[in-house]
Amino acid sequence: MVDKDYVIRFWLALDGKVLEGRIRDRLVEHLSPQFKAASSDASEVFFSAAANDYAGRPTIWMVRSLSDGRFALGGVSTEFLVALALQVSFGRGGHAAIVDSRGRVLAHPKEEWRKELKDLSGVGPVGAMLERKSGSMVFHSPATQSDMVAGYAVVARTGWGVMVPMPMAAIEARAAEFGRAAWLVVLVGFAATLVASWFVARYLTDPIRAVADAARQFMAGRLDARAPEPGQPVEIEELGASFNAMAAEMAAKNVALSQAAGRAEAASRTKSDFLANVSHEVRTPLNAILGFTELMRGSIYGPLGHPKYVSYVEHVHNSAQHLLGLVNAVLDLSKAESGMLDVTLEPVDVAAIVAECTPMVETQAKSGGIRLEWRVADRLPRARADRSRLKQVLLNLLSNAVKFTPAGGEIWVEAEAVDERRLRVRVRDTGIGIEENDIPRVMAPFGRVENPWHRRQEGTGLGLPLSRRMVDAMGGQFTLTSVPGLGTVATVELPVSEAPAAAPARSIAAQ
Amino acid sequence: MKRAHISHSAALPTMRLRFRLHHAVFLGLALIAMVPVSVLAVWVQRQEARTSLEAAQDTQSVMASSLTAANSRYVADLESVFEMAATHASMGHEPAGMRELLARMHFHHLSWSTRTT
Repeated sequence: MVDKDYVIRFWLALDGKVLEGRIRDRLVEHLSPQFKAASSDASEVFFSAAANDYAGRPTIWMVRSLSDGRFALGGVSTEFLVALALQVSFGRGGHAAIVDSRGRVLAHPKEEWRKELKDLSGVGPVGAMLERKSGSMVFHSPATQSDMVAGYAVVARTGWGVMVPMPMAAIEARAAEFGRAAWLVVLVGFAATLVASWFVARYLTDPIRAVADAARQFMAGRLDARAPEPGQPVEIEELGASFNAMAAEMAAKNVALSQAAGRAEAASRTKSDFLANVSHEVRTPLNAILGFTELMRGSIYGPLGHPKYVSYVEHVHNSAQHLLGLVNAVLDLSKAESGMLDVTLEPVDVAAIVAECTPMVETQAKSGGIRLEWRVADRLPRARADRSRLKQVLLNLLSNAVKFTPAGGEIWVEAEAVDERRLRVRVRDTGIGIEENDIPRVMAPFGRVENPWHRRQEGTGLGLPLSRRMVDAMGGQFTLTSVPGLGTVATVELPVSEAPAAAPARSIAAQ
Repeated sequence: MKRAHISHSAALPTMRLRFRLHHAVFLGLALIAMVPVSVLAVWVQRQEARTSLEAAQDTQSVMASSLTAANSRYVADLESVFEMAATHASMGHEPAGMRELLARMHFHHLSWSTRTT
């Protein structure tokens, strides 16, 4: 393949040396393609890849065919290319490199690479240049063991590659520097934002806190407390103004209410005093009437004479008893409303009270065709209550149950423990019941339900309200539930006084 | 039997997180201001890195093209001088100043060859 038979005669030895003889085998081998190309095309100058000359200098070789069949051979040093490349130096490590058509260094800042014609064909951009491509790319440099970015282009005539690489670290450092500056600005902005946010938040919330403080003071009784109004955001100023208007109105109403309450209290006290006095004054003659009618009913001083007088005396006695009961109830209610109801709390055997009260309405129940049953739970504890008041309550409830239960109906009286601290007495009936809306009315003094059945029954309308007040006074709870047509349940819950009594369960039924 | 009074006071289990409106407004305003700015800062930083890389690539491509153009001109000059020198050399005479020109163009030597066969 290699023609070794060329003899080169030096016509011009520009460095002062004159040599004549056979060209060195390695150079002939190197230039063989250019000789062959020049043989076939005499009009062209053919550039070879770089090779060292006889003095070991990196040299670019040119071959041209002459008209007499000989070849002209020119050797050019890479000094111009090196000087050109070394002019390019920028940033941190930015430089230029020129490689020949085989990827070997012609010009590079590293002198040893220039001298040895370092083969860079394995480096990314050089490989691209050998494929005659131009552009830019990021590549890993084996020489610096770092990433670099390079722009590259190809000298079309010779196939030399020109590469301008720069370490990525320089670009990254520049970006990082910009990033630090950006974050510094951001941090300053953050600080300004925090301060501004704090003051804006205070500006918005301080007036609200002022209104809340004013409301708190107002609630604590300082009726002259007012929210600050001027110099606030409009909405909060309106809120403060509304609060102040409301506070002024409430203060005015409070004064009026206090005056009205004082007047009402005085009136109530007057009424209670009046009722107490009247009741007391009425009870005295009533007791006399009852005593005398008892004497007359018993014919202590002889017969009344005419049978009609017996009947009249009976009527007078019954009416006086009713009136006495009414007076006593009014008196109790008056005391309860004024908070002066006397209760003596003591351990009370509820079972005994049930057993005592139930027979008192048995006769009335039997005559009305009503079945009456009572049951007391085993080991029922004693209640902490007023014995006479509890008895009065139970009699009231039983009396109401008998009154409002038609013939054929049933009444149950039950006493049982709710838990360790409370016990319950319940009076259930299958009576006519009460509408839910009417319950508050029957629980109010003198309240009555307007229907034909109720109108037929005698009553003052004081039993249930008085019972509730008595239970309240004993520290218990009174509830009434009812369904029209099905019946009513009155429940009295009382606090337990002591450990359960060791008594067996008792129950009885009467009809 | 239906109860006439129904209690509505059944306590619902409540887990109230108590905080001051001042703090809520402060945090809200701070977050509203800081989150977009942070995102913008990160975006700008990344954009700057990409832009720097692209700018460097553009600059270095331009520099490479510029060097390539200079090299092309140099190669063209080399060709012209070499052709002229080779032509005169083949005719056996040396024009005046030829050596200086060749030296200025960084020629080490100029020769001709013949086949031995």
